[in-house]
Amino acid sequence: MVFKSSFESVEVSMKQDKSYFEEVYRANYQRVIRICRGYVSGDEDLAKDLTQEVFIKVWESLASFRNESNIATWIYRITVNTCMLQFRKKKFFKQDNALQGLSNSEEENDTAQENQLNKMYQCVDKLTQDNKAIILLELEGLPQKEIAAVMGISHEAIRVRVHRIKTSLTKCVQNGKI
Amino acid sequence: MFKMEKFEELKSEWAGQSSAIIPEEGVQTIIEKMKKIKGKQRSTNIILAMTCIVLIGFFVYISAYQFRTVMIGLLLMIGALVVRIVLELLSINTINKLDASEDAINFKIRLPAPLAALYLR
Repeated sequence: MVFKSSFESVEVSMKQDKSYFEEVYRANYQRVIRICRGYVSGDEDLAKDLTQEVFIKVWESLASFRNESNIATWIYRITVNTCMLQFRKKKFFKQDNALQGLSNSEEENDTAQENQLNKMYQCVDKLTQDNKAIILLELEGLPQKEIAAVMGISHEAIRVRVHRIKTSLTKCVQNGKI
Repeated sequence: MFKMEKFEELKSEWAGQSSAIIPEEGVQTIIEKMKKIKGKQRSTNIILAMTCIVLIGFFVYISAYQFRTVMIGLLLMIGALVVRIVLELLSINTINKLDASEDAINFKIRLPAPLAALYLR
């Protein structure tokens, strides 16, 4: 009887976790995939794979989430760390892909907005890993205080770095050089 | 000033990019993938350990210690398997200890160089 009730409670808690995870997944999918696109030069298939990896980590760590920070900030941390690691794993593949993206954008006459977005992806790709994460979070509209919490850098340092990266990214989109 | 205005334009274009379709079975796929990965890790280690036990049994059964060449050959095979099992366990332990929800700087500091990258899914 005791076994049965404890088994039932475990089962109920698992179902609750799953439905909570489903909620978290649906609420954060778009922001995670946008960050992932930034890491893979806008390649949709790779971004989807990366997003799945991020949510695997979210599922694994959900039990340890202690509500000390906003869940979105917590997910952004997992996203940045997972993308950074996957970048190491798929390093060479990604470089080929980025080059392919460059030639495609030169050949095709996309709409102005798509072109601008492609240019942005290529410019983001030229940044260092940390700067890439910072600017992607800034583009997502995350407050600088939260970007500091995601990156583990002081708010003041983030403010300075965001300003520098914004300038070089804008310059790159306009002239093609960082 | 112009540059900052331009950045705001970039930001609004970023926000306006097309939304991805959320996979209907996304959560289920993730949970199944997790189970599959864990099962695969477990079965690999069981197979390796069983092979090792069989080789040790064979070593004793044929009294390999009496024949120098056979003994060296079997010890090399057993040794290689033991190294592989230890590496597998170490990598699983390393991955389990990694906390992906830490801030990026601390996460990078705790990241052991090549091992974790190799075994990351």
